[in-house]
Amino acid sequence: MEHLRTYLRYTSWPIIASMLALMLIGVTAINVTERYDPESIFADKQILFASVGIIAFVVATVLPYQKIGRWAYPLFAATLVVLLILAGAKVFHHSSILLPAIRGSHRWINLGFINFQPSELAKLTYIILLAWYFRYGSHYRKLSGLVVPLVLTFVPMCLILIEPDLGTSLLFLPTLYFMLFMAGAKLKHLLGIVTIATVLIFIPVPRKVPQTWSAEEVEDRALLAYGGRAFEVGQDKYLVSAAPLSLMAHHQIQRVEGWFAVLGLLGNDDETAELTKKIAMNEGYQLNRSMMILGAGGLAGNTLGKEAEPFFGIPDDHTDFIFAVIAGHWGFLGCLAVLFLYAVIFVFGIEIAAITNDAFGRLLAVGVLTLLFSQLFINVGMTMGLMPITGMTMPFISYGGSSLVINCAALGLLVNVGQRRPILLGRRPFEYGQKKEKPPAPYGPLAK
Amino acid sequence: MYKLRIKIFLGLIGLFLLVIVARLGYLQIIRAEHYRSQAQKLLEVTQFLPAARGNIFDRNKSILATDQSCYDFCLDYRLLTVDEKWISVAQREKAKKLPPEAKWIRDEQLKIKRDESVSSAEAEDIFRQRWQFSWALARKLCEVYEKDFDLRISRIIQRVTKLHEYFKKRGIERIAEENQSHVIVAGLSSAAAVELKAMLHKTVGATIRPSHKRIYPYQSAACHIIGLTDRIYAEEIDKLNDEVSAQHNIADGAASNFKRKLHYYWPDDVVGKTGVEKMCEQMLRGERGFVNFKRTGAIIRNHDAKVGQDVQLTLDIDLQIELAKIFINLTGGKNGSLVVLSVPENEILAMVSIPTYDLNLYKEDFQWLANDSVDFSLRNRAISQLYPPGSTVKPLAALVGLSEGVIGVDTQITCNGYLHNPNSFRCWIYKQSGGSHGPLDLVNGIKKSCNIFFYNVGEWLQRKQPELLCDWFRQFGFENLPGIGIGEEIRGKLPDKFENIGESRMLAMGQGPIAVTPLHVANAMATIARDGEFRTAKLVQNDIQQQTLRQLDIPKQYFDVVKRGMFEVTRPGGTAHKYIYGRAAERPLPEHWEICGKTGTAKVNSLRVDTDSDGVVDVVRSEDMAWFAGFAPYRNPKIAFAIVVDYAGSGPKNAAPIGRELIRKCEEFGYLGFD
Repeated sequence: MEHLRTYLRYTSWPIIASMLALMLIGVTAINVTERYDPESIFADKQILFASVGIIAFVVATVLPYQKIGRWAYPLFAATLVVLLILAGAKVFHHSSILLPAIRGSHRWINLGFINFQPSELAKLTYIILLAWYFRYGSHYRKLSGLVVPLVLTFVPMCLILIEPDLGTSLLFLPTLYFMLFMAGAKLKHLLGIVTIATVLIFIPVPRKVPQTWSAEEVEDRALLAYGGRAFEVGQDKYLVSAAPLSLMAHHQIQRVEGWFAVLGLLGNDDETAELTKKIAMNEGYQLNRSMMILGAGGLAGNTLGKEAEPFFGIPDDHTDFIFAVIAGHWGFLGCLAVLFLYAVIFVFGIEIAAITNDAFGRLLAVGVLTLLFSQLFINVGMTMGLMPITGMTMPFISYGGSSLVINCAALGLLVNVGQRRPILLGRRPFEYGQKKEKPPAPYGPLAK
Repeated sequence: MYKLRIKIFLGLIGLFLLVIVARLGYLQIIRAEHYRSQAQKLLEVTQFLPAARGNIFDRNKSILATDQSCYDFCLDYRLLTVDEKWISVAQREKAKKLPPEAKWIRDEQLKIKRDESVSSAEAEDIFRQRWQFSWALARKLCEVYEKDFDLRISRIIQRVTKLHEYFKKRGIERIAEENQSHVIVAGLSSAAAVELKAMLHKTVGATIRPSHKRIYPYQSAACHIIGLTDRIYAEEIDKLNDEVSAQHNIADGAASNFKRKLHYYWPDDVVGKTGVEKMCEQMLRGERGFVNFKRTGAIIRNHDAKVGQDVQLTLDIDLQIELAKIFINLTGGKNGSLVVLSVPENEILAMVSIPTYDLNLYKEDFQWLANDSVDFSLRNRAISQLYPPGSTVKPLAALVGLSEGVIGVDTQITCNGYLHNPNSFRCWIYKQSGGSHGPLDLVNGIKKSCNIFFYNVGEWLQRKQPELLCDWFRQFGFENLPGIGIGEEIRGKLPDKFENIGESRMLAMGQGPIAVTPLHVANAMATIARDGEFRTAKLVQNDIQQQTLRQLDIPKQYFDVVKRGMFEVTRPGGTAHKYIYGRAAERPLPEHWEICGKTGTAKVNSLRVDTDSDGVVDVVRSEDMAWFAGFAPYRNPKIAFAIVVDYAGSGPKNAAPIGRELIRKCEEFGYLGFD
C-alpha cells in the first residue's frame, strides 16, 4: 500500500492529465468530421484505441524501464525483421490478407481485428535502442563513433521508406540528432552534420527524364528544377534539381510543387500565374483546403455557421488534417489550448529528463519528447503550410490505432522514468570526464 | 554540460512552439478575413438557367420560328453506366472505398432507407425494383416516341467519355457531366410530362426537366431561309466563344471566369446552324440567367434569363407559301427557285427554293436529306446554287453596249440565223426552225432575245477593251455576295478576262464562264428597275446588315430603252407573250398589267450521279435551265423577280408561266397596285 502511494506520488500527473485531455479532444474532433455521415464509426473506434492506449500507457509505467532497456537489442531486431518482411512484400508486390497493400503502400500487418503499423512500433524500439546504446559510452564524442548510430538509424529508415512511408521515416533524423545532442556528442560534429546536410540538399543532381514522359510532363516537372527547364544530351533529356527532389517519386515532387504553389513561391508573374493557380488547385488542393478551413476558424472558431460545416471536408481530415478541423471548429483559442496541453507534456517531460540521473532514463525521456514533438511539429506545420504534406499523425489526437497506442506507450516510458527519479540528495549529474567512475545504481523509492 | 543542453533543448522546443503559434496567429487572425471570404465563396453555388431563343417573324409578324416549352425525360449518368453488381454490395462497403457510381447507389439506398424507414435489405430490394422500373420506363418511352434507345444511350456515354478525356488531360478527374442527368427523350408535351411525373416516385435517377423546343409553325415554308438549330459542334465552340468575347468585352484571365460562364457557349447548347438562325445567332440567342445561393439554402442573387431578341424578316410568308405552291404545280415537281424583291427598298419578299424539307422533322429526316445527291434538298438554290444566267443578262449587255458606245439606241443588226457560218454561233430561232430574225434594233433584239444581236455586242465590247463586260457585270454585283448576310450565300463567278472573242460573245448572252445565283439575277433586274441604283438585297429588318448603295454610271435614257425592250418581251411577238397574255396561258393576265421580263434558256452540263450505286454514273437530268426574270409594273416598278427551273428546257415555256402567276399573286397580296 505504501509502495503504491509512493508510486502514485511520483507519477507526473500533469502529463497524464494532458494526455487524457488530448485524447478527449481527438475523439471530439473526429466526431466533428463525421457528424454528417451517420455511417461513420471512426470516433467509436478511436475510443476503443484510446482505451488500449491507456492500458499500454499503464503497462509502460509499471514495468521498470531499466529492464526494458535490456531488451533493447532483441526488440529492435524483431522490429527490423517485421519491417524487412513489409519491405519484401512491397518489392515483390506481394499482397495478401496478412500483408494488405492499401493505396499501393505496404505499411500494415493485418492482425485480424486491426491493421497494425510496424513502423510506429519501430519509432519506439529505436528510441529504446539508441538510449541503451548511448547510455554510458563516449564513442559518439569522436566522429568515427557516429557511424554506428547513423547505420542504426538508416537501416529502419530505409526499410520504412520502401513501404513507402516518408513521414514516419523522417522522424528518425530529429530523434537521432537530439538524442546525440543530449547524450553529449560534440557540437562541432553536430553542426558539421547539419551544414553538410544543408549543402547536400541543395546540390544539383541531374536526373534522366524517362522517354515515356510527354513534353508537357517534362515542362511540369521542370518547375522545381534549376534553370527551370530540361536540357538535352544526345537523345536523352535531363532535369537538374536539388538532391532530395531528384530522389523523390513523381507524386512526392507534385506535393512539394503544390506546397510551393499554395504559398505563392512558384512564380507569380503573368506567365506562370495560371499554371501556379492550377497546381495550387490540384496538387495543392489538400493544403489549400486545410489552410482555408484553419484560417476561416478565426479567433474563436466556427465562424461560418454550423450548417456550413459539412461542406468543408478535406481528404484525411480525421487523420493527418485533424488540426485543421480543430482550428476551424474552435479557432485560435482552441488551438492555443491544444498547444498548451502539449507544452505541459514537454515541460514536465523535460523536467523528468533534467532531474533523472540515470543516463538511459534521460536519453529515453529525451527520445520520447523529441519523437512526440517532431510528430506534432511536422503535422501542424504541414497543415499550416510550413512544410510539404507527408503522412504524419498528430500525437494522441489523430485517428489511428497504432500511432495512438505507441505514443501512449512512449509517454508511459517517460512517466516511468519520472517515477524512478532520485528524490533524496541528488548526486552530481552525469557528466563527461567521469565515465571511469562506476555509475551509481539507481536509487529512489522504486529502485529495487 | 547536460544542464546547459537540456536548457537548449527546452529553448528549441519553445522556439518551435512559438513558430507554430505565430503562424497560427498569422493565418487565423491577420488573414482570417481572407480565408473566411474564400470559404464563403466556396459555399456559394451558382446554377445557370437556360435562356429561350428569340422568335423569327416575317414582315407581317407571323411567327416563323419560336421556342416552345416542353419537357425532357432524363436519366442520371450514373444510372446509365454503373454495374448492377454494386446494388447488393453498395451498402456494406465504406463510402470511401466505392467508385463514384457505386457511391451513388449507396446514397440512393440510404435515402430510401431513411425516407421509407425500412431495413437495409428492404431498401436494397426497393432500389432494385425502382432501378428496373427506370430502365423499363425509358425503354418504353423510346418505343412510344420511336427513338432508338440503345443508340441514344451509347451516344450519351460516348460524348461524356470524350469530354472526360478532354478534362482529364487538364488534371480534372471527374467532370460534372458524370454526375448529371442526360436527355433520353426530348420534347414531351406537358400532358405526357404530368403523367410521367406521377410515376417518378417509382424510379431512381429519372427526372423530367423543363426545356425548350424550337418550333417552326410553317414547317417547310422558307425552310432554307429560316435555317436549322442543333447542338453546338465541338469544332465551332471556340470560334463562337471568341465572337462572344469580343461582343461582351470579356478580358482574358481568371477574373472574367464568371462572365465567361454566363455568356459563353456550353457543350450542349443549341445554336443556329444555317440560314437566319445562324446569321442572327447573337441576337436570337438570349442570355443565360443564374441563381446564386448558399449550399446551406439561402438565395443570394437571382438573375432571370433573358429571352433572345426577336428577328423580323422582310419575307412575306404567305406569299412565299403561295409562290412555292405555284412553282410546284406549274413545274410538275421540278426543282428550282424564285426570288421576289421589293423594288425601291430591295427587300426580299419571297425566296423559294424547291425542294423543301420540314424544319420540325429535320432530325428524323436527316439521313436521307444529307444523302440526297440529286435534289440537294438542304441547299438554298436561290443563294447557293450557281446557274449560267442565260439570256437574262442580255438587257445588261445591252446597257453596257449603250453606255460604252459600241451600239446606239437605233443600231440595226441583221440576224441571218447565224453569225458567220451555220455551224457555230447560231441564233436560237435558226436552231429551232432554220429561220432568222432579220434586221433588228436594240428593243427588238431584247424582245426577240436574238443571239446574233448580242454576239455582236459582245464582240464589239471585247474589241474596245477585253475586260469591259466583266467589269460592268461586277458593277451589277455579280461577283460579290448578294449581301443578305446568310452564311450560305455565295459569290457569282466571272472570268477575270476574256480569253477570246468567242468567249465574250457567249458572255454577252449569259453563257460561257459566267455563273450566278438567282438572287444575283433578281438584284440586277431590280437595279434596272431603279434606273441604275444598285443595292444589296435585304432579308432581316433589324439593321444587322447594312445595304450597300451605288448609282451605276449609265444615263437614264439607256435604261428607258432597255426597259422598253423588256416590256416588249411580254408584248405580242416577244418571247414570253404567249405564256403570259397569249393563247398558251391558262389564265392570261389582263393586258393593262404591264410587266417587264426577260426569258432565258441556259445550257448546262447534264447532272450525272450514280443514283443506284451500281458503279455506273447515270445521267439524271439533261435539259436546259429555264429562266424568267424581270420587274413590274413597267412604268412604276414595285417588284423585281427571277425564276429558274432546273433542267426544265425552254425558258419561255417553263419559267414564264410561273412569272405570270407570280405577278398575279403579288398583285393579290397588294405589292403591285395595277388596279
